[in-house]
Amino acid sequence: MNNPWFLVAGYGITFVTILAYLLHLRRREKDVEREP
Amino acid sequence: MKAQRTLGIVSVVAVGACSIVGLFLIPADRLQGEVQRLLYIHVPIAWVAMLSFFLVFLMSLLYIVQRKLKWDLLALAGVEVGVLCTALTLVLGSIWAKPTWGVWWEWDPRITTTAILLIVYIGYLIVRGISDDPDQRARWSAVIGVLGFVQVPIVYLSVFWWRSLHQPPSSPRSMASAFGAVMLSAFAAYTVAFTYLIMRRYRLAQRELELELRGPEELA
Repeated sequence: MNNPWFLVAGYGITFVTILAYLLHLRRREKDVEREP
Repeated sequence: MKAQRTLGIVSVVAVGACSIVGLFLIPADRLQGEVQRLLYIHVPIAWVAMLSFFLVFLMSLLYIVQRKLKWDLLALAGVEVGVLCTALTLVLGSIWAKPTWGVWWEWDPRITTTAILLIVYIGYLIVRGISDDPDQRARWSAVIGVLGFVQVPIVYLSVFWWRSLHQPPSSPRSMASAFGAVMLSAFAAYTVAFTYLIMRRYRLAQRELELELRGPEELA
């Protein structure tokens, strides 16, 4: 119960996933900005 | 745009501060040990998922009544954020369950109904891809947005209705005051982050719809 890797995995997966979603949004925003 | 950026900065600071307090500053739970610190993100993210699906329900109803596409776009934003948060809730719950229950997954009523909830709203996103007509797409989506919401109270009440391995809902009221204060702050921080994500996804959806509606005229 005190293995820190569970915390690293939980917090890590959460923040990496949210960051990936934000980058995905950013890429699509750039795509629509490029449209005339 | 400036408001959106400000909200983004506030979200990062608030979520970051809550994570630092939850991970390093508050003592570990006496019974669950260090792994209990996962609850400071698992529970607020589950809350955001439910909030997202409530938004979808409201926006879908508004679309059915008023037939304005802006309600459909807000519902779409809610579904994307809701699906992301429901998936994270399940993953975080699984990581918490392994050291606590001894298993990664259990066909427990709360977990099973949450998995069904995720499938329902993934279905919503798939259905949106079937039609190219924005009105028809919005109509079909709104029906799923309203009917799918039935699953949300089932998820919430599942721990009361059935004999469940999952504990009853964790909230600031069910914890010691120090833990409760961190949890309450995390609820507030993730709600701000939810508002930011919805706002940003809605703006993108608006722009994409504008381009979609303009497309055929240019081709003609």
